[in-house]
Amino acid sequence: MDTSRGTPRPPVLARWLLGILLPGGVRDAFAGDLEERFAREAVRDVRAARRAYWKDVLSPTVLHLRREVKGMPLPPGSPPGAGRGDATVTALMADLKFALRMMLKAPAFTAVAVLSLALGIGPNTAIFSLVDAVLLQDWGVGEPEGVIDMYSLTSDGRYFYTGYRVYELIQEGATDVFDDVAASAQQAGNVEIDGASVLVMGELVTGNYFDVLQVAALRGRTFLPEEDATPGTHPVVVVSQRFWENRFGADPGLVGGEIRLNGRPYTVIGIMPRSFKGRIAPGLGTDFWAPVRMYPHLAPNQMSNGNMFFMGRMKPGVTTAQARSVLDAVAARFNEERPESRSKLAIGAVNLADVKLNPNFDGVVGAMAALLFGAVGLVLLVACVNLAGFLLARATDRRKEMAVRIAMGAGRGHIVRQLLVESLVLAFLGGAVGLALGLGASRLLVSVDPPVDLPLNLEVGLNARLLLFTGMASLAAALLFGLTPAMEATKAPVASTLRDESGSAGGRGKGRARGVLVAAQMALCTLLLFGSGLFLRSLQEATAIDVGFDTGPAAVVALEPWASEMTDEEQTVFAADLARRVAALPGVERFGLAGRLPLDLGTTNTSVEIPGVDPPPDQDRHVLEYTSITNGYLDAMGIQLLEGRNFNDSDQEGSGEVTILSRAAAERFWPGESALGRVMYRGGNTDRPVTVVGVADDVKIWSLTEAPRPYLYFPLSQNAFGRYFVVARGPTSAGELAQQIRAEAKALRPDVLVTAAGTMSDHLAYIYFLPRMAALMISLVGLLALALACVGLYGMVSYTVSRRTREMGVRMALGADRQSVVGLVVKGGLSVVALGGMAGLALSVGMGTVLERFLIGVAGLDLLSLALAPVALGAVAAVAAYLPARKASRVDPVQALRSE
Amino acid sequence: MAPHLPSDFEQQVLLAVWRRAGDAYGASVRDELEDRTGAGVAQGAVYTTLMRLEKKGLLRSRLTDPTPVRGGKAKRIFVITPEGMAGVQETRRVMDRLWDGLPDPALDGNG
Repeated sequence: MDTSRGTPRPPVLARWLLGILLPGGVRDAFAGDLEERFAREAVRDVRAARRAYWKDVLSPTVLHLRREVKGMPLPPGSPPGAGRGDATVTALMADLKFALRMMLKAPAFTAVAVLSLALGIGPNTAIFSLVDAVLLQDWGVGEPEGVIDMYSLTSDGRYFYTGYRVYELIQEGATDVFDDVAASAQQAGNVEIDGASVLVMGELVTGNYFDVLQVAALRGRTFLPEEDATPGTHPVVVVSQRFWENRFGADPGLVGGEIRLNGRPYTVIGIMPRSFKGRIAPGLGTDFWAPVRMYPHLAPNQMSNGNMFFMGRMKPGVTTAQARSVLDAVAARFNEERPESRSKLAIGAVNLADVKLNPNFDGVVGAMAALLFGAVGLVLLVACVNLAGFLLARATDRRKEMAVRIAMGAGRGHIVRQLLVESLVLAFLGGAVGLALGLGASRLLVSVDPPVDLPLNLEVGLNARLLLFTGMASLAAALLFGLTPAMEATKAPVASTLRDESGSAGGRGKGRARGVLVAAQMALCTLLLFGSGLFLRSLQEATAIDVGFDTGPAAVVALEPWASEMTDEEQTVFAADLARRVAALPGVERFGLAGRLPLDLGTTNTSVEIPGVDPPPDQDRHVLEYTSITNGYLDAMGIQLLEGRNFNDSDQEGSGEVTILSRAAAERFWPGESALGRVMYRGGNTDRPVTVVGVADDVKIWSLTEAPRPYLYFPLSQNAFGRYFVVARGPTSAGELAQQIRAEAKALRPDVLVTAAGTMSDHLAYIYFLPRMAALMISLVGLLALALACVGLYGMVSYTVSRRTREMGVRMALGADRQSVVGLVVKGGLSVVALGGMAGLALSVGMGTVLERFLIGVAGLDLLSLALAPVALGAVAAVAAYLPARKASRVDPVQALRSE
Repeated sequence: MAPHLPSDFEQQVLLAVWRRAGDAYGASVRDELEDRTGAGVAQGAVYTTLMRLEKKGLLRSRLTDPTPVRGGKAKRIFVITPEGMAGVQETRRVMDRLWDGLPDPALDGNG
């Protein structure tokens, strides 16, 4: 955002404003004076100099100067054409003054117009500020276009994290194109602050990480080469400015001090500036960076884990394409060395300047953003149409004024300009109020805590991009809603208008124009209501999906014993002890331990060889997801055992290894046959046969919409897990039970890390979070549009009523009863609604197919939603039309006939 | 003698122009005023007054060639006219007549 590299320049906007405000005679000399002072002050403090510059430009004395100079000749030495454009500016200033006067004369109109527009612009600003915070932030990295991100690339074009071995290959093989290559692996950690443990996101990085990215520490320093040379010897950590400020109150003593990370003291050697948010994702800032060689403590399996990606700093003059071809050669050489392997390495390389979040997600997130923008854009359109309606009505009232002006010699161009300036002023005010509303709304949205244990790091605030966006939206709105009425206003036949033929000729045309506008609004509303309906139905369907296990009340406690420096044996003993203690709790009827829970946002997999069943063509073995469980787990989770037996106490370490398969696994590997008694080899190790003893029903592992996945269960006693979940059900309330289990764990080992102690619904909250948020947001947007459109409809009907008062009076004087008069007006309003609704339905059909990819279990052409949208619209619209029409029925015929 | 004496601020600006003789333009006049009076003043106020004085014929101005320090913009150099000089001098005479005889508390210490 800061552009102050090189010589500081005065603020562009202020300079431009000055150019407009001052006439040619003094413009250059005056601007030069300010620039001279700015240059002098900027040497000391650029921000103060900018403020002073703005102060001088916005000072009322500039307007005094403008008045003073009016009519003065240009000074000797002026370049030719110095005074060009002054007349236009003067005329515009006059228009501006006139516009302000007109607005003050009709404060109610101004307020409704500004508020209406603000409600249209607000949601756009809110969404834009979110998109800005997530997608438009830069990485805070020096020369990002010189950095290449590297992942392993699957055959279907997806980018995956990969392992340390690939890092070594790239480091050895790509020295021609890269000066240096760094690696990073995401790693959550627990930091103890005032006795409480806080989950934070970190990166394990190679010692050259900060140098490759060209970012310097705000305080302290980054890693030294020796700090990432030997495993486990340098417990040092660099933390983010945000972490330092939020968690340690910006304590200046933190650098050089210690924090307890996963139960062990680490020396804080540096603090990274706020502008660098790490490489996890811009909306998900990194809190700490530790040397990857600290893996023995922070992530024992790191070197065999495939959770890394790499960043290469290209040598000067090297292009992304050159880097790619070198990396292809590196992968090819690696594959040649292993001709027997069916899994081929491919390295996916992306220039950092092109990455927003992650090469896999950029498309999806972009589409989500586009969807939201589409929705709020429609709201803005509804608001604009509203204003066009208001202005059209007002233009009718001002026909006489316009006719007088035209008769007096004002050009039509001048009048159009005048009206456009008026709508610009309205748009500017509406934009300003909308900006405030939008910022408030986006702060609210960001404060919604997603039920995922991820420290979100979204910075929503006013910045130049946001101002520019709102400015452009307001400008577009002004042109959209100002142009039609302005053109219409000048079309009035001068002579008849002046003769006070307030008759129907011109009025009818305008009435029709307004009807078209309201119909358009109704069409847009139908579209948005249909969208809301779809997302509400999608939420309903999502919550109705059978996940394959009991989602009723249960305590869910997550433990990470590996983090407390327990040996593997201690961990096993701990798990057994904890199981005994939980079993002894009076409120527990069923319980179990598991390394992973379904839908826990993670996965652990193993590779197996299955005699007689070929692995997928590009893999050497079957790679399957699994979890380790205790005997009571399937029962506690309510997962049905379809065939065979459950694990029991005889399945111990040392006894024959056993497994239970998911139904999908059994059906894939032995279709039409029983899987019981079959054997597979883990890691291809034929010394370790694993026998299938049971088949369990499928559960959702990753997402609600996935097809049944092959999944394996192993006994925890034969497959230790460093971290696990305890699931327990019983008469005691789930929340209370969770606290009791947590207390038992702490009593057993006070230093054990408990990362969650909640309920099953807490555990599942995240999976319903997105459908819930989508339904909520789209519904809110739909309601807002409906409200705005009703204001428009109300305005149109009441305007019709006021124009037709005389007609009503005549009708009633001739014997029409009140009901029929009301009916007449309401009918007029509703026919417009019906027309718009029909057009909206036609558009909805097209939109539904586009939305399909965002929906769960609902077709894009959901008939229920399609039917409900016009019903909701019609009901609300009927009220909006009835209210002003009722006024018509109260007309006193005598008064009405006397009026005008 | 002069029917319209320059106002206080006009006098200040005239005198600042005179002090910066040959190099009196918007920014330098503002600097001179701020240095001498110790109070900040808006560029717009200085310039408005310069313009008014020029209209009254107490100042004259011309544009110089553009200079790079000022973003390539010309300076408008002001010089005091004989009428301007007469104006400040007349003001001083009038003020002196008014001031004459006022006891100075700093001198006789009974303020």
